[in-house]
Amino acid sequence: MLRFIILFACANLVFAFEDPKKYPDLGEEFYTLSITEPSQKVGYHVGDLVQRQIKLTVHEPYALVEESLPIVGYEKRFRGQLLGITLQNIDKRINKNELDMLLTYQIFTNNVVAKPAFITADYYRVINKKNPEEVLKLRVPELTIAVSPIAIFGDIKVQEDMSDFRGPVLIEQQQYLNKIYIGAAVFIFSIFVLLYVYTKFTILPGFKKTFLPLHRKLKKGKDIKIDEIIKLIHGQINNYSEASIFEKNLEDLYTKNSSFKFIEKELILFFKISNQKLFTKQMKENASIRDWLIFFCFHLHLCEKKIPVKNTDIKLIKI
Amino acid sequence: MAKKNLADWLKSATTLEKQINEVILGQENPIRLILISIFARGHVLLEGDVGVGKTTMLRAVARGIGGGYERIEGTIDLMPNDLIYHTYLGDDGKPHVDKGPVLRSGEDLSIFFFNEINRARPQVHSLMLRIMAEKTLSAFNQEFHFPHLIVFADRNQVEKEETFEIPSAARDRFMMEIPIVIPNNDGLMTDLIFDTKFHNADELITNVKTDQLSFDQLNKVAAEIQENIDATKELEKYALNLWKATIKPQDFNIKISDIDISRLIVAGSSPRGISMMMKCARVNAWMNNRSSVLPEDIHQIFHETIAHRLVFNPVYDLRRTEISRELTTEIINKVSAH
Repeated sequence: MLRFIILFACANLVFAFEDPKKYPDLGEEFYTLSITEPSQKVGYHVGDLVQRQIKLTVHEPYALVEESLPIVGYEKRFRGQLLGITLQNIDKRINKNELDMLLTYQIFTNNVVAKPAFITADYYRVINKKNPEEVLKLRVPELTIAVSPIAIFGDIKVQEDMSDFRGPVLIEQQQYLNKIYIGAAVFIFSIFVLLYVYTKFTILPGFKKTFLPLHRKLKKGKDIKIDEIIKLIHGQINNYSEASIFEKNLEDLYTKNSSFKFIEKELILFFKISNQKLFTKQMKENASIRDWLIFFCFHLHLCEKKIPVKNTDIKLIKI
Repeated sequence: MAKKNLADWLKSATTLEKQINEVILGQENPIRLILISIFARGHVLLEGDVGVGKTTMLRAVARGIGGGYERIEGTIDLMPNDLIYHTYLGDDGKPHVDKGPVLRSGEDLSIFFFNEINRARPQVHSLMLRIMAEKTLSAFNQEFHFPHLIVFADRNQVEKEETFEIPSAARDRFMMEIPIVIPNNDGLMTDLIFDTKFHNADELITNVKTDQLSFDQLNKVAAEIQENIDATKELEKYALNLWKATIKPQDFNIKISDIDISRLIVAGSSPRGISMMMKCARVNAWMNNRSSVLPEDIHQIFHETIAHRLVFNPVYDLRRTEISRELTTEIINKVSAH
């Protein structure tokens, strides 16, 4: 009994170290293999992830032996030496004879010397379903990568892969690209916003709305009487300056915003019109006065936004 | 009286104003305010230090408007009868009674100047206030009338010893309290020092022509002005808001630093005060050759017609001059006219 147990254990031990290469190769006509390799070949650091996408279809009468697939946690060796690369995760989907598998390896070495830092070839076994005695092997080629920026294998073209813009820690570059895209979009948007803010017609949420909404209201409101327009403009001037503004205390308005000094002549004229209309009743409804008041309101808006009103734009009328 | 006459009166008033301004330097605003009070027929309190030209100014005005000008000095021992008569033993050894300053000019009394009124006792104040309010006086079993009288009283705000402050009810009878300060202009100050013509007040006032405004017609002219100068509904609303602001300034978001505005006012302007303000505003509009009152007309006389009527909390009353100026300025700045 003891002899049987020892023999059984030894047999298993022998099987565990079984060389997969001993099986004959599967003919190319019996499988389709597609591998998507990572674009980065060199410059990996400790902790970096390397992903391979393997798509394999085994044709009849053969079937893939699932037990021959890589196992999570398996540490790659080359000639018995640990490579410092561990299979961290397998995301696989098997549909009959089709295998779609994403292998994620993680780098655990920072050895820059030309130690073989590659993912060795894997051998998957297939079995003939009609003749279970027939077991064949299928080779998934090795992936040549380097933990050092120095090319250690002839097939890596460093000059094509060493951009300064590629950071050394590139676990997943898409997130950085996304940030760049978002940043660029925000920058372009803010440029547009800035241009909009500095134009004449701006109303922004939270922007202290004083004269522009009034100007729009007056332009639309054809039936608003002149005395009402004057009162509305006075109201907005007072609101803006937080005081009751008259001709003699215009300085208070200038203190609040010196841009209003550009339209001092218009302001004085406005107060004259206001006095005549509201306090002397000597002025009748007059289209030119009405148009001038609307125009004046727009100048008030420009001054509020600190957009200088040119002397040539100042318009005065006779009352 | 036709409007043309009012225009003539305006011309005379402007000429007189110009002449007084040549006699009294750097007091353009007080002179304008005194003329306003004359045409609005209101009594005036003058506030200012000694020697700033108050008496000279009043003598010049009295000369210009004609009529009787009388003056009395307020002292602690002054009695009411000192205003009415004085007694003395004549050369014939018999007692004589002469009319006092109030009665001396009879009905022609146009300006009565009570110098340092706050040095006189309250019983003197009460007699004076009656004369001011009713323009009559009962003495010697007889009723005397002073239809053209305007009282100017002066009080010194600096010296407080042996003085009797005029109570708020009495202050309210005055149409204006006009501050008179030393002109803040080096050129004018130099003239006052070195130009010898300003050293002799008696001679100086002779530059003002006499009787330019007939004092006995001023009441009629004043009534004409009040009738002919309009005030629109907007202005009425503005005046009403100003009045409300003197009563409850906190309702108009009026703020003064270091002052609890809700506790400042014990009593705002009286109805008499605000009507006097409007009378003065009308006269000011007329003097600016306008037929309607503008807010600016009110602004020009607002402090002088309102500030002395306000009754402050005693905590703040010691700083009355400073606070009342700030308050009236803030009211003008915060109450909207439109």
